[in-house]
Amino acid sequence: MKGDGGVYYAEIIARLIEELNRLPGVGPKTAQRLAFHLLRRPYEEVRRLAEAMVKAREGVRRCSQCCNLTDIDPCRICRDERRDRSLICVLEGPADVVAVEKTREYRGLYHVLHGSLSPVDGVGPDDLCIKELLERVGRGGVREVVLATNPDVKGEATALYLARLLKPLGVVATRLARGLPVGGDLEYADEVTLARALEFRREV
Amino acid sequence: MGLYRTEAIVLRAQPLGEADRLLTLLSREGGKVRAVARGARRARSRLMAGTQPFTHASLLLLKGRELDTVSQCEIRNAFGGIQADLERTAWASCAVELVDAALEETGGQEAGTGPGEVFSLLLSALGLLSRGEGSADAVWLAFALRLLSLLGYRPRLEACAACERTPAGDGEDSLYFSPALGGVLCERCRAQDPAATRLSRGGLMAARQLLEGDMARSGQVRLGPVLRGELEALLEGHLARHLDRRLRSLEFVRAIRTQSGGDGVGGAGKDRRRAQARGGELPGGEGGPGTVGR
Repeated sequence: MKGDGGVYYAEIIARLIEELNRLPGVGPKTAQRLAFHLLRRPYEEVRRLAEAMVKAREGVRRCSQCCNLTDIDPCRICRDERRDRSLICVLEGPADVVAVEKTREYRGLYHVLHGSLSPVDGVGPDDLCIKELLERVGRGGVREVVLATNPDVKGEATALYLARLLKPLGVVATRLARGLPVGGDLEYADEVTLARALEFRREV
Repeated sequence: MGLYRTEAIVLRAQPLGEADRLLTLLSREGGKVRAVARGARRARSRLMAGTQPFTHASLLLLKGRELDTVSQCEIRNAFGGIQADLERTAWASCAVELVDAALEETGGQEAGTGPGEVFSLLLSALGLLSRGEGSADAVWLAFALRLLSLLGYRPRLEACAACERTPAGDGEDSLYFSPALGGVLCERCRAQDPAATRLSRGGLMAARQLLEGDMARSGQVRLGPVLRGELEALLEGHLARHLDRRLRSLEFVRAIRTQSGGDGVGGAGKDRRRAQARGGELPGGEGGPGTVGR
């Protein structure tokens, strides 16, 4: 669709489709559908969308403390006096903060790494917000760091790497538990998860 | 129609679209296969655990026009011990990345090798790394040298690659390895390749042992920091010669070595103790000047 766009569309439409096509999960067909959808909508609605995108991009930066995306620095969570400052939950991305916040179980602070270590993809320690975390913990007052990176090879490697750096700083490094999903079905659980669930079983 | 069963090792899993995974598999029969695991990134997906890198699985695949689709996946061995250790994760990453890169050049087929030879070698290396048998560095060296040999790039270690005299003979303490000539050089022929790196007698013996000995015991090959440095330089030169691209995982190994050694943040001492507890070789905690992936 890209190269020959000019043949089928007015050039500005082709350009819009091309830009939409760059979005994650948007293929050429979806890009075309979105473009025609936008062209059908009232002018004001499209302007609001464009403005929202530009404003968000302009106004959002990384919190100087937790590296999460924010419009004010420090971010709202880091400012919140009611939160437990001795507890830091380390996550791979901003979306993970939302997921943990939704549990309403966690009252500590966060730290967003913006990625995970991936040897095969060439993502090393310097590509993540690890230095910021170590500086933060080094300033003192932190008791426990919860390493809540994803339970996959990359997240595991990241957690092991961080644990190694954090332990000499005198903080407790913990890892999220693994087991069966709520509402799950034993029969359909995979072997690895089920084995972990057995390993970390608890008395009722 | 179009469904087929295969046994494979997951070399690579990349995110695709909203919740899918694009897998690069090494199948026992058919070399490298690319397949999509739909929904494998969703928390409750049955495919999630089995589509992790390093996993050995039995798969039911649906033949597609461009990419095959994973229909079912049964884990044979998740090699959980690898994920539990950072060094082993790093070396296993090197191993799968090397297989991925090396087979790329032969169009995904294991050219010139018997069926399943690369597969068996990788399976055995992952098993050793996962069980923590011996030193992970030695397992990697043995794996890489053997893989290159399977693909027809066996380094010549028996005789000087230039003058054909046997270097195993007496008195010759200084040998060199020349990637360009694909083998060792004696002192006299050293001038043939100024880029040749030093290989001590002990290094030559260790290299032979890693290449020809029992793979299952490769982790037991004793490598001090000096020998390890020599062999890593040898392998690095050999890889650079026969591979189109550098292995990114090797850079990662270097990054974590620097961290656990020099800058004092990590615990070289701790690693050393752990290595001793495992009965393995000392990892030479100073991290060395980076003989890997330079």
